[in-house]
Amino acid sequence: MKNLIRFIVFSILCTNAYGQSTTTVNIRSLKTHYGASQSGQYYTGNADSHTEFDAMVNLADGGTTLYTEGTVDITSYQGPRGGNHTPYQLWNPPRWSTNNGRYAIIYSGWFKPNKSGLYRFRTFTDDSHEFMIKGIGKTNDIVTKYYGWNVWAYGTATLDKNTWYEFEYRIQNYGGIGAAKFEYRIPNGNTYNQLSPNHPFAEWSATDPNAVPITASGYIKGAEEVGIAGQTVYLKTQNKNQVGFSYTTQATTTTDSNGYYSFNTTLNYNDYDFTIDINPSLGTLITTDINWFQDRLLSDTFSSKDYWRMDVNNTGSFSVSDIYLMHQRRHGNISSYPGGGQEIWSTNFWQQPYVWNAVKVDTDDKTINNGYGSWSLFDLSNGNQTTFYLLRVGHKN
Amino acid sequence: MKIKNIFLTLTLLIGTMSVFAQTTAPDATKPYVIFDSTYTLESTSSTSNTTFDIYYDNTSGNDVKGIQFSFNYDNTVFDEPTLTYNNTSGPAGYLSYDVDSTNGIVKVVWVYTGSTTTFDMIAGNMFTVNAPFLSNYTNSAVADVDFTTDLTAYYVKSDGTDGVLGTQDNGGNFIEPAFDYTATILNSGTNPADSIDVILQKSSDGSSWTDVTTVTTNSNGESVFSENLDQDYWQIRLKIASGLDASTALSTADANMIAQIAAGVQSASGIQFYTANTNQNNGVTASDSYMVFSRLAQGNSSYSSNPDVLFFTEAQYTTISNATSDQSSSIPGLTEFLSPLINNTTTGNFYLLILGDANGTGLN
Repeated sequence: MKNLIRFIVFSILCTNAYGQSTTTVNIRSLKTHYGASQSGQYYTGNADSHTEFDAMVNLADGGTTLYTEGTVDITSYQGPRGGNHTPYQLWNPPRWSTNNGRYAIIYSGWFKPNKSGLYRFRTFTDDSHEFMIKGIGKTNDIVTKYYGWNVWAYGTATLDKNTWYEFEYRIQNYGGIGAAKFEYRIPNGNTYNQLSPNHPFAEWSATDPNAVPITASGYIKGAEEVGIAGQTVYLKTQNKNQVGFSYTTQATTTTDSNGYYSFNTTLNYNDYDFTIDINPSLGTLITTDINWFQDRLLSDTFSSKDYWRMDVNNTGSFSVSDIYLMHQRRHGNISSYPGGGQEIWSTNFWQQPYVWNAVKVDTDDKTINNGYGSWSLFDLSNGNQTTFYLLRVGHKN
Repeated sequence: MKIKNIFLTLTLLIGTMSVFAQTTAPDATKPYVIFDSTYTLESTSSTSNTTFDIYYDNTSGNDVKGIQFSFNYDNTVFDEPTLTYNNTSGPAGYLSYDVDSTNGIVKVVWVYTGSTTTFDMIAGNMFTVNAPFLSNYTNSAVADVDFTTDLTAYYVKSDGTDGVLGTQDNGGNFIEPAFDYTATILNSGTNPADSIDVILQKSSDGSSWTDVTTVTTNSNGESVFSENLDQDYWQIRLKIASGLDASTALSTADANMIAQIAAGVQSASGIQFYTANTNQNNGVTASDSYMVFSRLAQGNSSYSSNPDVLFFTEAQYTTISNATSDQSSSIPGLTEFLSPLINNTTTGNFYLLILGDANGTGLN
């Protein structure tokens, strides 16, 4: 039943948000204080400091659990509209309990004000609250705050109408009736306006309008420059400008029948450096490939590629013995080739075009050059496309 | 006579041994691919192609999983050959080969493709090469086939590494197709002529002839020829040189019989119109009898101006034998026998008649 209610609430939230993109923001509704009159792990009744408020809205704290989250129209009554207890209980965000509940409501997102200049803000909640605009130089980004209840908090901010600002308005209620109001005064204005459809204050967004989604695409191709299907490709990120390398996987895909892969993420390129990594697989050896290699023995013409894909017994030359071993590997009689060594060699054209350009036309044994063809695909620009080339033992392509 | 027969037998044995197939490994140090000593060419007019086998043998005790090698062929004789694997080691194998017709080189790779880890190639005539003649080829010397190093000869060891594959070339020579023929030289239908040297001759144009071999008739009057001659190319005939000494066939009984025929005491048979007409002139007369008496008395080995022997084909002999009159004006016989062409036949009977041998003793 509880889950059903959550689903219904979430559905309503999503429905309300639909078509209201200019006033839609994120909302997160939390149950705090274990849902009762007890302290969380790192906070007590009302938040009395920014640190305590951080703890209260942090799901890592045992006293706080997620009730629901989604988006709302910030100018509706699901937004910070209605409080001061008049009219009674107009503020109606999704809450796990409206009657004497312990909860926190966090609105977040981005806004672009309608005018440029000095804005004045005042906020009123029951109980504590913090209104933050990030990146404008405020301590802890806080513009207005009050740790207690039913007291107007005042603050100012100089804003530019062409700039998207990230904001967060966090409100908690520690029992009793909750309330939340948000009022602003435009530059050179004389009156405060309650945020409402008639006074939207700004253009709002639940997603970062400044964000540049990370996209990347490319191909994984074999020795004959034909795409290889089913190869695993990773998109990995680390924080922008981070020192060192600690990339973690954000998305995984596999190549299609043309060897093509693509990533269209919501990750912000302004926040992350990214790299494309692959986990190539050898694949099943097939008789037609092996026969092709055997016929190649007769041609007396070999390429640099053949030293990787054809010289499976690692003797530095090509003979019927290589062919025999391929068949034995195909039958599963052997799991590796004599001499061991690398079975898949790869390079990427974006990083080292000169490598593949040489390998595909040269005839010398480049495998003897330690590290030749190794690659590190970093410093990708967003939207870059690159082609990986694989040379796999026993595979023509 | 006995010594001659022993010699003939030894010659035949040596000849037979020389064409025995040589298709086994010469030693046990390694596996081998092998060319036989000789291969037989197809006839130039045949619709079939010349084929020759490449053999494999291994007594080394080491398992062999595949082989590669190369060989050459006479590209002035043969058009681009094809190669087939004869399944000597079973069907689980893949053959690939390449023909460089410009240089007459063939590269061959065969590998076991099955899953049995204990597989070992089996000895035998592993490959058959099918080599068509070039369209402009008629008949000329054909270079032998030899193994080459264009593709290094390796075999696959059990551990998947290369081993040295031996290449045993026992000759690889090409010989023309066999021509087997038995010529029987007869004094009469029941009297074979022994110890007659019969020469087999060949000619490409019918005017210039070359002796191929000479075989002396045995006690059955047979000269048995077994040669490598493309009878679709060569014109082939037999020759028996003139000058045979038939003294052993002559006796006073012959002279007396001739005298009786001359005197009309007895009539001449068709054959005796030749054998009793010793001087080959004016039918059978006392002069013919005299020639025989005179030769016997003087111990001469020949007549002064007449041959000892005349040769006839079987058809001529039959005509003569059946006749009751002298046929010599139309069938004079040959003192040097040159047979009609014997291409595409395997046997032939030829007859000789001895002047003065009226009672038909013959050469034997």
